[in-house]
Amino acid sequence: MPLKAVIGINDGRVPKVPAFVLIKNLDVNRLVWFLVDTGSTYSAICESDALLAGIDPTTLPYEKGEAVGFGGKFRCRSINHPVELIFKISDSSQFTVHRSGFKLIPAEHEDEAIRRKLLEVTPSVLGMDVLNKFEIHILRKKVELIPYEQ
Amino acid sequence: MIRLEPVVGAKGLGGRLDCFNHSTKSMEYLVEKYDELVKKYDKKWIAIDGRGVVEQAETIEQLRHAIKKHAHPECMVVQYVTTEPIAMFF
Repeated sequence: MPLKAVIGINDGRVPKVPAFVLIKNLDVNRLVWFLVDTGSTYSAICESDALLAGIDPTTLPYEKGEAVGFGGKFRCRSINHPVELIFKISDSSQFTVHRSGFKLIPAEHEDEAIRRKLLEVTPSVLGMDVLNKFEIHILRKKVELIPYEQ
Repeated sequence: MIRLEPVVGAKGLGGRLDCFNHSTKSMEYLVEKYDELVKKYDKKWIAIDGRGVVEQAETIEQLRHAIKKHAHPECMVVQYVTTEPIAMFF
């Protein structure tokens, strides 16, 4: 019997998996494709996906601590409401991860051209806070996340 | 807290199951046609609904406004495409 798994797509550049982002307090219910990023400590939604979901990043508070990436230091905003990430499992069941203080990566820079570029290229990411609940398989054309608890 | 349960609301595209399936088709289309799409829509945001591009815009704000008129914008795949080579490190 095949293992139940979240199935994503690997285009050869970025492995991605879909998940519903559900934030009941903000009336947010949108399917987001997340980059499977084992190098990130935390998961986060990018500003473009947040805007599409109807979230205004400027209404959210900044996280207390700084975040560090290859681009240098920056500050995430915090979605200060309960967030559910709902994954579709291959047998059509769902796997839900509950999070509070989910992070939002703002596209912020004093230079508008750079801000636009950040908005265009920054993806939403699934970091190890969520990925550690799965056995991860990155195959040639697809991604499989097998939940440890089945 | 983690739980496994059936995907709910699977009737019509408003249901999550249909939305997952629809979005996966859209992402497969994007991957398959990326080289064509990037030439046609260079430096634009595009929205894909199933098997084709249904909206394009210069900015994410414009695209967000444009897709609102469609039945299920929450299931669409939205992507910025550019011929400009970009190396990404996250």
